[in-house]
Amino acid sequence: MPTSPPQRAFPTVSPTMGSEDPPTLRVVVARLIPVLSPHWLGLVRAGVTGVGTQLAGVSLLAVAAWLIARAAQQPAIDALMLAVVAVRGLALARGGLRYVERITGHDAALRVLAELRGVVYGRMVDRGRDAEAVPSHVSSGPGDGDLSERHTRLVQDVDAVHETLLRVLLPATITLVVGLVTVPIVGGVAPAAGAVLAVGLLLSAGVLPIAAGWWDFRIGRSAWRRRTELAACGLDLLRGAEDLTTGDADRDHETVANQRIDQLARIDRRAAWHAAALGTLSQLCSGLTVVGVLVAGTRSTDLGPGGGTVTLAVLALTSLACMETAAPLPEAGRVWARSLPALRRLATALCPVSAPPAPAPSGPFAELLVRRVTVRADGDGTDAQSPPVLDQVDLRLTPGRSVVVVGASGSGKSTLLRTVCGEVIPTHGDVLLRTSAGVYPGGAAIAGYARGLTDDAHIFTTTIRANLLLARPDADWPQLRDAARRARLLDWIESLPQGWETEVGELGRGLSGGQRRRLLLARALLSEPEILVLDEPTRGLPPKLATQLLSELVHPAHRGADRTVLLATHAVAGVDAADEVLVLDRGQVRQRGTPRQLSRVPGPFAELRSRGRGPGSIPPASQRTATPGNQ
Amino acid sequence: MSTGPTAGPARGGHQSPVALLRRLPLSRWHLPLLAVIAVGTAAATIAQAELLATAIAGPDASVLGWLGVIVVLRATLSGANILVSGCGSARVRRRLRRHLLQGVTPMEAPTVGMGADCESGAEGDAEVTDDGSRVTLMTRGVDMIDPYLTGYLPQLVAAAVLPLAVVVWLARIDPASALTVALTLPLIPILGALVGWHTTTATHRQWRALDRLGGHFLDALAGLATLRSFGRDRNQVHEVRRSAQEFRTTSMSVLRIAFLSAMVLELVAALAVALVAVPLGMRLLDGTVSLQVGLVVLLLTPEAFLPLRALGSAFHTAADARGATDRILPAGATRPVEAPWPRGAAYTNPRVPDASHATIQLDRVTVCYPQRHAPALDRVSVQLPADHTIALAGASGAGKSTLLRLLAGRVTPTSGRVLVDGVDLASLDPHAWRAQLALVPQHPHLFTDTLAANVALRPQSVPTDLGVDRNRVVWALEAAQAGELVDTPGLEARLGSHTRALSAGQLQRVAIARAYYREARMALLDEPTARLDTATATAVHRTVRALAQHRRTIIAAHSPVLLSAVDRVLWLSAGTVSASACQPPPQSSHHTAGERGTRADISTTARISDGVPDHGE
Repeated sequence: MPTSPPQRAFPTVSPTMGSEDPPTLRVVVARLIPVLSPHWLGLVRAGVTGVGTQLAGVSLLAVAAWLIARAAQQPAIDALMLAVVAVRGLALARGGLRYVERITGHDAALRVLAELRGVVYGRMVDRGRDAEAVPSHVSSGPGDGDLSERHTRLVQDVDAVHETLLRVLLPATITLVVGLVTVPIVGGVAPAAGAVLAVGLLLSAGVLPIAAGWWDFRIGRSAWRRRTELAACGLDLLRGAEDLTTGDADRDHETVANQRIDQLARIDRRAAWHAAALGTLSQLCSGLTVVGVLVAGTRSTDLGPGGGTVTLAVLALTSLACMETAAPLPEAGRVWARSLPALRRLATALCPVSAPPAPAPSGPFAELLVRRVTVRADGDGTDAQSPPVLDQVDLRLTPGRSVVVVGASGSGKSTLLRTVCGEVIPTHGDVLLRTSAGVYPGGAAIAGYARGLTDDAHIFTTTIRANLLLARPDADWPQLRDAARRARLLDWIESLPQGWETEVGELGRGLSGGQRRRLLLARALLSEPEILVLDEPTRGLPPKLATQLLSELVHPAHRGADRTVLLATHAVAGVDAADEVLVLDRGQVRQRGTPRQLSRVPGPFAELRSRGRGPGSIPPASQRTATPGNQ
Repeated sequence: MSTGPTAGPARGGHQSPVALLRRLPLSRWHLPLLAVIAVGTAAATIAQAELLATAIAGPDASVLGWLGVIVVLRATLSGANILVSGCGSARVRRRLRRHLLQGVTPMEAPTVGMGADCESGAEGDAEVTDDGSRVTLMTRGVDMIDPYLTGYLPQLVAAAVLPLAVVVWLARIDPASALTVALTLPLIPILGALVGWHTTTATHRQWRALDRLGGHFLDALAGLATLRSFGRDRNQVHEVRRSAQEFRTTSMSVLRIAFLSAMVLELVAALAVALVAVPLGMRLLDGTVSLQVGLVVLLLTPEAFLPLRALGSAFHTAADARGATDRILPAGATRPVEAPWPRGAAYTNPRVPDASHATIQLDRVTVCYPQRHAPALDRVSVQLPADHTIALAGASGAGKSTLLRLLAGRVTPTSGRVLVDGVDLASLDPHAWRAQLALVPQHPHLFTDTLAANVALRPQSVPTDLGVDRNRVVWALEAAQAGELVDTPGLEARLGSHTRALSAGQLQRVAIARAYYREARMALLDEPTARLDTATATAVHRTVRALAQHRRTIIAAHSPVLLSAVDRVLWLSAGTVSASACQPPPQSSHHTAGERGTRADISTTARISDGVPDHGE
């Protein structure tokens, strides 16, 4: 049985995957240059001080060697004074320059990072919804790993530039310059020694880093594959623990995971062998270069017997110091191999966007039409035969109307709402927005009219107040408090020790599901769009509160008679005041009409209603229908 | 016994990097081997300096040959150092991963999220991230220990050996220099500690700020869609830039301190070399010291300071490794690492009753979950006869799932006993008992493997002579009325929790097919239709009814259709049995039953026992 599965089975981050057509190195450089160019001065400064540091180190050893060898010849003390001063000066200069180099280098790299983050973010904004490639993720909800993984990866890719600058570009340039300065000097004294040093430097700064990078790339790839497999195994064991309560199934699966661990350990050991070989070669290279320089120096006929010792000492220690400059380069090769895929992906992300923005609608909202809309989840070919997420759905919204979409999980109500907001592009049919100024096609442009609480809404790592104000930066306190009160959040916020200024934990993890939902609801209410779109606003709330809240959101007296509301819910209690109810089942409209009409005729709505009175209402409307193994 | 998913308290926050060694499963030979290599390296370093000095001071071709040999030896030792560290690290990481793996397959599942009446959308997410973080801990978390083992530890050993060796050798050839080095060497760790002690408090706050600022970009990316919908995405570009600049200034103030302390150490080393070199030059001038000795001193003195300085710059790896270890060790197994599963010998009762015919009795069973106040089951005594298909009904949180888990041996009673034909379940080998069962959880899991492997629950790559019987898989799928899956996606199709190849209804039927494939004598089904729409639920109902005809089946269920299909319904309410009936009671009755609260005696059939017959012990 094959042990290495096809890539498709692991839709997680791959070091090599990206766009279909990875940009060439030239394109990568061309796209990064505009980002780097404003900061070239800082980078050059860092490079120059770096060269200075290394040259100070090389000269320090050379002068010290000269000093000692010359002193042994017992000349007059005056002949040595300059060298004594130089040794002290160079020792201090090396420390100081090194400090300056590190500061300037890091500062320049961080400036580039800041620039890059801004540029990348700007491109993401320009790219609009395409950046998230929504159609392929139509029915995957907030737990959608792919998108958040892509974001994390983008952050890492941007960081890779910082890493590449500091650990590849600068050291490589510095070594090159130091080599270009030192080799001619050594060659001037003894040509053969210069040649030996040049070869040594070439090996240790050129060949070894390439070999290190190549090995690292290959091992890194297989280690990554094994790690992904292990992660899948571990997740299987965690989430499938109950399924495995039969016979030896759990032991079998544990065995497989253990095999993966052992495979990973084998790869780690192989990596250790490679690193050891590389370390040995690197040491050997610098050691043998010094020996070679000595051999070449002693053979050289130019050196007299007296000056010979001094020159030889200087040559040997200069080349020793010079080889030490090249010592970090194999590591640079490794970093380069690791960053290159990231840089390629980044270049793809930096690809300029040339789509003209659609004309933004203006004027008061008059009508929104959803006509025969069909949405298919065409993300991965496997869904080709599956039924559409939405199947020929019609919907009409006019000012002041409230429409409630009812359905179980996977019935397509979230997709319908996202289609109205322009986040999902229908496969067939269309969405039209009519305002007093004209008629506009659906899509990103109508987001200014239809928005509110969507399932994937994000809670930012900042204060509660800032999270709300985002919807309407100019909102004053009464408006803020009113939105929170309507979302049943005010008492809770004011009971917090830091009140409105409470920091919400990362990804809203400091909040319970219900609080999170209500915070999003408050934000949606605060933003007061023309069409308020609310996806399951009462999820995670106790049933009694949910009913109360739902009826307030729907009832014209509470929502404001001129406000248009489109609301999706799985529970029907509390929707009596709605102007229209749509019952969705597997993408199709099963029933539609006013709540009063619908509750009179037998059908899903009446059924839900009677069930809703019992202890359990309609099953949970979670987005993760196909991956329900989360308990 | 519980190995909860909560990481243990961050113990040992102030342990020294050396104390960490004792907590890592290092080989006994690891440190001695590193020490031997360090001693060898020290000897080779000294020999190299001596030979180099000889080669320079008295040009001599024969010395160069020896120098070449020593260079090769030193390079080999350095390679050996890397190899030993790398292999040791691979071994430690392997053992930690195995340790964690056993932590992920606990005997009981402490997070049984039957959370009251609230809908668990967000709670579910929290759980997902928790699973995810445990898996990340097993992959990347464990790898965080690598830099400590391959970078810090060898430097630590070298720092213990090399400076001492250099001082001893210098004392032999030039005592004055040796004294200077011996006096200045301790300055490095002392100054390092002083600087570090002074700066940690200052930088700690800034690291937290850095953490926040560094996360801002990701936060902004994740919230881009939200910002766009509120028309705020353009403004955020500026915000991203601003926070990245702030990140830079904060980083630089941290780095300035770090680099400054590095510079202090470097200058101390340079100062020490100067202190050694200048008097040495004077003595060379006097002719009291030979050039040979002078060169050796010049070459060796920096070598004495090198490992100590390197140790300082690798210090953060130790902190990272300690952080990782703090999270790994408590999250792992409570079972001993190399004993994957307690075997039969540990259980007193070798004869395991046949699950299909055994009478199962619960004797005042109480189950409490660690994180919950109210018991999930509260002194439940009930008899489950073998010849009935039984449904467990009641609101969510009433204890249905817990009862199923109890029967499957996944949960052990906090008090009371589960008796199988009079034998305590706890005394049976859980594997022998489970071999007869199939548990279909409420949310079946799709394993990252082929469809066939998902039905057989036997990973494709497992080395057993019992491969997956393909005909049987087809038969099981057909029996579970999921025969259409044999064609699409096909038995060899790779599935996984990420792919959406199966619908929720298909997934339930695959899970039921597992029971057929295993020919389970007793099937335990947890709300098989709770999350399905009406049409799909009807199909699954058919499957469940077919299953129940051929084997003992216990179903936790809401659905009236399912309840009407069983012989007997057991109503649970707040952890107690509130009613039992041969027919499902009329709609109103389970409401009132809940209010009556206690157990047994209200049942229409009198199989529920107050006292359990005494053949248990």
